Amino acid sequence: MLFNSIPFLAFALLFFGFWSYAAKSNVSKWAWITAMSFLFYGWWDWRFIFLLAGTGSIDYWCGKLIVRRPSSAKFWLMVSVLTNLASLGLFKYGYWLATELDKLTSLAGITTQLASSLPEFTLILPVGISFYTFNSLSYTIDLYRRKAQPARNWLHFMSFISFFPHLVAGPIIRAKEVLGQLEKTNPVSRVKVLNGLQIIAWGLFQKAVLADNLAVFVNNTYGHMPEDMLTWWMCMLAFSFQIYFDFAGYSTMARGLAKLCGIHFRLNFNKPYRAATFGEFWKRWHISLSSFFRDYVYIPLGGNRLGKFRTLYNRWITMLLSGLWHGANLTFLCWGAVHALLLSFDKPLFFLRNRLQLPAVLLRIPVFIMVLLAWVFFRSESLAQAFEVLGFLFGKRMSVSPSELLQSNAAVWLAVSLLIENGWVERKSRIFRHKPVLSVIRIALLLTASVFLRGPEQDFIYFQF
Amino acid sequence: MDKRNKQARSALLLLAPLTALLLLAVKLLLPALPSSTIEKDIFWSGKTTQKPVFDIVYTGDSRVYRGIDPRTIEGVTGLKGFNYGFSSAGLTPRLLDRAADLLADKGARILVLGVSVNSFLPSSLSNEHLYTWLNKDRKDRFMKQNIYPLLKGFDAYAVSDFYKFYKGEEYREKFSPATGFVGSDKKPADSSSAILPYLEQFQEETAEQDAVDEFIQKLPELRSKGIRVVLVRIPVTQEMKTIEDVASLGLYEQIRDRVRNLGFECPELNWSDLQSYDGSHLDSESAVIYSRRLGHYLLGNR
Repeated sequence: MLFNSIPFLAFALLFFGFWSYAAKSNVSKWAWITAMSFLFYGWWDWRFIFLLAGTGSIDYWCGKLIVRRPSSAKFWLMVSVLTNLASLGLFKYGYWLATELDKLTSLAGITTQLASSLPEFTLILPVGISFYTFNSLSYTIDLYRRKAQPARNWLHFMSFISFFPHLVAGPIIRAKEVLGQLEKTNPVSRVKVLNGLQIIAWGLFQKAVLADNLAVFVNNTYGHMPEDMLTWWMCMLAFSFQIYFDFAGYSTMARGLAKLCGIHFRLNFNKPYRAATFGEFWKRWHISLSSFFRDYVYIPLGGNRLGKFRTLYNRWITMLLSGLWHGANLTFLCWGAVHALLLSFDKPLFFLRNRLQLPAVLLRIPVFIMVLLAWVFFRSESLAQAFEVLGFLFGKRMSVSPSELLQSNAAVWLAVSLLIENGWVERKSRIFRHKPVLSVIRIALLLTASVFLRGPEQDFIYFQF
Repeated sequence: MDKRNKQARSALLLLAPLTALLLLAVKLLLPALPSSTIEKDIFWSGKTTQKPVFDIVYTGDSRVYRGIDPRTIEGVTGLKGFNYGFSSAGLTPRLLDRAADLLADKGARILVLGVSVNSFLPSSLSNEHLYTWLNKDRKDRFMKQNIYPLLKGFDAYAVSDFYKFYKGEEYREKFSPATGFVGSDKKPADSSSAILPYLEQFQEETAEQDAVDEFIQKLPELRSKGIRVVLVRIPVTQEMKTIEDVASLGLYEQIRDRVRNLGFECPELNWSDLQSYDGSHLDSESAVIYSRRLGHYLLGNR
C-alpha cells in the first residue's frame, strides 16, 4: 500500500492506535512492529513475506555465528552475503541476464532458451528487495567489522529489517544506528509527534502534489515522443523534479513515520540540485544508498588511497554497481557510467569554486544540466529511446511555442519546485516551526493542498527497484 | 510534562478539527468540477460488476455510452436497460458475450449494438479500456465501490481547471452508475474538433475484415439464445459520417446490408436535428432525444 493511500491511512491508524500499548516493553514493541510490517508488506503479495522472513532469519543466524565463532566469522559473512546477493540476483536480474545471454548465444548461431526455462515465480520482482537486502547486508558486514552490536533476539532483528516505514523504498538504514533505538521504551514526546506529523505532511505534499503532477507531463511526452526540442527540455526538467520529489517525498514520509515511533532516520536527500560539483551531488542525493556503496564497495576496494588509476577504477565499479542496483536494464548501467564520467570532472569544478572563487550558482547550473541529461538514461526504457530523446533535446526542431509550454500545468509545478529547491519556501515558512500551533496550521495546509491539488496517483518510482 | 510538550499536546488536539474545517471550507469555496474523477472511477468500476438483471443491454464504444440513455428508453418502453459501452470498444465476440450475459433469463432480452467503423480498427479490437477495468484486483474494486463514494466532493484540481473556469470552458460529464450512461457536454462546443484525430487514425489503421466477418457470424448465435439483436449507427455530424464512409470504403453500409440479409434489425433513425459537441459524440440533450426515438422504435417493432 502506498503511503498516500486510504488503505495506508487505515493501517497507520491501527498501528499507532495500539502503539502506546505495544511500546511498553521491547518484546511487545518488536512483535507489534514485525507483525504489522509483515501485514504492510503482504498487502502487495503475501507470498513474499516468506522471502523476507527467510532471508532475514538467515542473516540473523549468520550474525549470531559471526559474533559467537570468530574463527569462522568470514565463512558466515560469506553465507549471508551470498544468500542476499543470490536472492537479489535471482528475482531482480535473473530474467534479464537470461534474456541477454539468449541474445548473445543467438548471435553465435546457438539457440538457448534460458529465459523461458526460468521458474515463473522468478519473474515477479518482490517489492523492496533491493532495500531490505542492503539493510540486512549492512548488519552482517558491520558485525564482522565489529562496528555494530548484535540484535538481542530474532524479533529485535526482524523489527529492524521489516520496519514498515523503510521496508519497500528505503532509506537504507544501518543496523548500528537503529537497533539501539528500537530498545528504548520511553514514550515518544508530544513535540516529536508534532515534528513527525509535520515531516509526514511535507513528504505527502512533495509526492502527491509535486511529483504526481509533474509525472503527467513526463508520461505524456514519453508516450507520444514528439520531436519538439523545447518540449523535451521541459520534460526532462519535469522528470528531474518528479523523481526527486517522488523519492524524497517517500523518504520524508518514512522519516516522519519513524519519528512517531521514536526512531530517527537520517536525511536521505539534502537539496541535491544545489550541488556545485558531481561529488557534492552524490552527497546530497539518495544519501543512504551512496553512503552504502561508499562504505561497502568503494572504500573496501581501496577508495582513493591507491593511486589515480585505481581510484578511477574503484569509482567506475562503484557507480556501475549503483546504476545496476536501480534495475536490470542497460539504461541504468549507462546512467551509472555517465555519473562515473561526470565525477571525473570534479577536479576542474573544485578549482573553479575554491581557487577562482566562482559563485556557487554558476557551477550549480552546469552540474544540474549534466545531471538532467543523465536522467534521460534513467527514464528511458531502452538505450535506443535514450539516444532518440537526446537527439530531440539537441535537435533544434521547434514546433511548440514557449508560451504554450509556459501555460501548462507542468510549468506551474516546475516553478514551485524551483522555489522549493532554492530554499525560498523554507525561508518563508520558518515561522511555522517556532510555535506548535503554527506547526499544526502548516500541517493542515499541507494536507489540504495534498487533497485538492494532488496529481493522478502514481506508484513510487523507486518501488520498481 | 514540560512547557513545550504541553503546548505540543494542545496543538495536536487542534490538528484533526482544524484539518477537517480547512478541508470543508476549501471544498465549499472551490467551484464544482464539471467532471469528477472520483465519480468516473466509481462509474467504470461498477460497470464491470453488474448482475444479469436487464431487459436491454446497449454496447459499443464511447458514442454508445455517451449517446444512449437507458433511463429515457425505460421511460418509453418500460424495459430496464444498461449501457455496457466502453471507450474505443471493438465489437468482438467476447464483448458481445459479456454484454449478452447481463440480460435477465426471463425478460425482453434485447441487445442493441452501436456499430461504427472504429469498432473494427486493430487498436479498438484489443478492448483496452474494458480489460483495464475487468482486470482490476479485488482490493481496487472494493476501494472504488465502497470507499470512493465517501470521498465525493474531494476531487483533485489541476491548475488548468482554474484557467478553464476563468475562460468559461468546460467539459461536463454526468456519470450514471445505475444505467452506464454518461451525459456529456462541452463548452464551447466545436463539432469539428474530433475530425482531425479521426482522420489521423484512419490514415494509420484500416478496419479488419476478419473482425467484421467474425462479428456478423456471432449474431445468429446470439439470436439462437433468444436475444433480439438490433444494430444502430450512433449519430455523428455529416462531416464525420462522410469521412468514415470514405475512409472505410462504405464499411457501415456493407455491414448493414449483410445483417439485414440475415434478418437482423438495423433501423435508420432521424439524426438531422441532433447536436454533437465534437463531431463524434452527442451532447446530453441530443442523447436523450435520440434515446427516445430508439425507445419508440424498440417499442413499435416488438
